[in-house]
Amino acid sequence: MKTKNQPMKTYIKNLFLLPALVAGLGLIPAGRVTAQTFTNLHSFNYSDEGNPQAGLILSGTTLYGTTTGGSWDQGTVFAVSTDGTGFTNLYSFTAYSIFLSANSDGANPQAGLILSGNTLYGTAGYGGSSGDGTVFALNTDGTGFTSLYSFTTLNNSTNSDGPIRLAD
Amino acid sequence: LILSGNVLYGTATYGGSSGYGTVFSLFIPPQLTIIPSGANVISTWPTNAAGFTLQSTTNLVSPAVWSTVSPGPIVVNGQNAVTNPISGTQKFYRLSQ
Repeated sequence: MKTKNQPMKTYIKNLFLLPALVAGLGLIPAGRVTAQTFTNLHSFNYSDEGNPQAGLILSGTTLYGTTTGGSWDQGTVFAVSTDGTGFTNLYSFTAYSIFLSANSDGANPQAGLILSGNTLYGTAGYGGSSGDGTVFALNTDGTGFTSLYSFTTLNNSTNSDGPIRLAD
Repeated sequence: LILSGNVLYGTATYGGSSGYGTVFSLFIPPQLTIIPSGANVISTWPTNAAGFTLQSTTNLVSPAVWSTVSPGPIVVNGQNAVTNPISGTQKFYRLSQ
């Protein structure tokens, strides 16, 4: 597992204060103050196999998500604290055959995860025994990756169990 | 996106320092509303804004001295609400975290 730290924070404004009030002469509520604070918790780089396309899930103070891996990589499942520290690559999907897009675990997850107990569940859009995606499970500490199901080969865009890339 | 308290969390597919996307958070401050009610003012803000305290000061000139408003809020129609009598020439309120 790869671990990285130190979020880069960009404070746009931090002024969530001060509706004003003049008493005695009548009330003058000030206009809305809608400043927000944007924080870049983590910037993916080449070694992170970034390009996330899905949303996150939150458990306690830990965010979990997936990356597609961009054009050259197979994607990951990652965790990062809500303060941006402790970025952890929980699992990197393995390389697949160029011609069949097949491998043992799946590749390029484009959807988010769900969490049940300490188990994360997700789908991969490619890879698996036929190259058409998998359903997988993974413990929140990065151990115990299991490919639960490999979708079958598409034939003229049809098969018996659904093209995962359209369903995820 | 997911919302936890007053913070949105999300991902960006591209951009960031290396162009491979980001994980980000966006803090959405709670809105404090002040309305007159006879000889009082009623300050309200959402109850999901956990950890915020209503404070007031009579002068914003630095160094402004902010004091926690007492009594504390009660929940009315899903909003934290504090009622205070109008006094003096001016008073300023804020939510502090």
